[in-house]
Amino acid sequence: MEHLSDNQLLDLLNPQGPPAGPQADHLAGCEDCRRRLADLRQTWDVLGQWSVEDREVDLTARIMSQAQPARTIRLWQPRALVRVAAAIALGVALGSLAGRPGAPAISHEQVSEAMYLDVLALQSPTGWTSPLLEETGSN
Amino acid sequence: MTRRIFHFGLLALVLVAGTGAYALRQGLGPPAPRPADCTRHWLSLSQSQCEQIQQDDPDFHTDAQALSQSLRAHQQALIADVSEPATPAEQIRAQAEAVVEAHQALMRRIVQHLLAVRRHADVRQCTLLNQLYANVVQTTGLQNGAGPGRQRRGYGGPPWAPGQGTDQGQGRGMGRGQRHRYGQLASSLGLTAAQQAAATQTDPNYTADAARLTQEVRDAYAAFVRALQDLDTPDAQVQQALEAFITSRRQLELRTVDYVLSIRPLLSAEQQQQLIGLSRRGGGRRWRGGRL
Repeated sequence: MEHLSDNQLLDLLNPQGPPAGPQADHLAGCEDCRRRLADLRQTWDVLGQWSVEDREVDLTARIMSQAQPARTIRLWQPRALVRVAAAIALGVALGSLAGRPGAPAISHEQVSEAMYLDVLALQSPTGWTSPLLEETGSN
Repeated sequence: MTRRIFHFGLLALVLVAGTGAYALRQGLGPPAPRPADCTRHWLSLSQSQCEQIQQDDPDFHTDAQALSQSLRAHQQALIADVSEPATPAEQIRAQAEAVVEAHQALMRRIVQHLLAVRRHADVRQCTLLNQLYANVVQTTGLQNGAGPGRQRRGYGGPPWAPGQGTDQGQGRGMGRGQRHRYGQLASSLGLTAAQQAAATQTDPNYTADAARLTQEVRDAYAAFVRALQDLDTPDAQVQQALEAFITSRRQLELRTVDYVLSIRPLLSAEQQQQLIGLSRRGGGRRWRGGRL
């Protein structure tokens, strides 16, 4: 009979009952297979004593915490400063545009002054004939 | 700081900066219009009209400013001469003549420009221009103590123009034939009866000359304003009317200067101050020469 396979040897490690059947018969008469089974049992026992430490890692919390800096803005960052400056510039531009005075209202006096029309008034350039030109003389 | 708060902050910043800029802009008020803009806006001149006027009379504002500065300088010099009791009469007369000539030069330049504007303006714009003349004339009339008779004459011509309006003889109008108080100059100087008698002895013809010349000035002025306001009057005729007005006013001014200089030695210190005050009235007029 051929030697037992690793799977057959692992089945024999089952602690629920003593080995039985042809595999047990082979094992009784095969020194090699008994040695392999002993090695497997020793390995199995060692694995049975190994305990995995469970740290209860919360990946969601860790991912969120890593992502948090991207959602936070610090004012002294260049990008933030540029945005603040842009906001001020935008506000000033809009305010100036909205507050831009319309066409100035021009009065008679302004246009007369612009055309020097008051020089054409009947007035004395020296001032000395003013009493003559300005008097009303109704009496 | 979260993005949301940051963005709200930016929005608030835009609002605050915008409000500040708006308030500042409003507070500053509209910029003072340039002289050329005043004329353009008031008369609603088109771009092409402006260009034609500019081409026709390119140096008006420069020339007028220089001439008004010259007038102002001469007026100040006259005031200074009159203020100094030791100034010889010849010097004062020469300075007064310089004032009159500077004023004439400015008037000619202004009328030249008005004619250029009139050539390129349509009827509606000429009407607006006439309203401006009328405003100047009206202002002169009101300053002279105009009553209802003057004010009702509207824009048709100067308030004292003969045959115009419907209320001649009412109020205090200056229609032809109404009397002038030619002693007003003596009153303005505060001459006593004795001084007036002495003045009459010194220059016996002044009262009659002043009456005649004043009426000539008024008539010439009325004719000039009518010619300026009448669109059918050719430019040459307007300038002729202007020259007639200038000539008559020059005669009145210089005749009065001679008279005042002849009685100047009779004036007391207080009366000298009155004379200086009259000179200042000439130098402090509404025209730009008095403002610079």
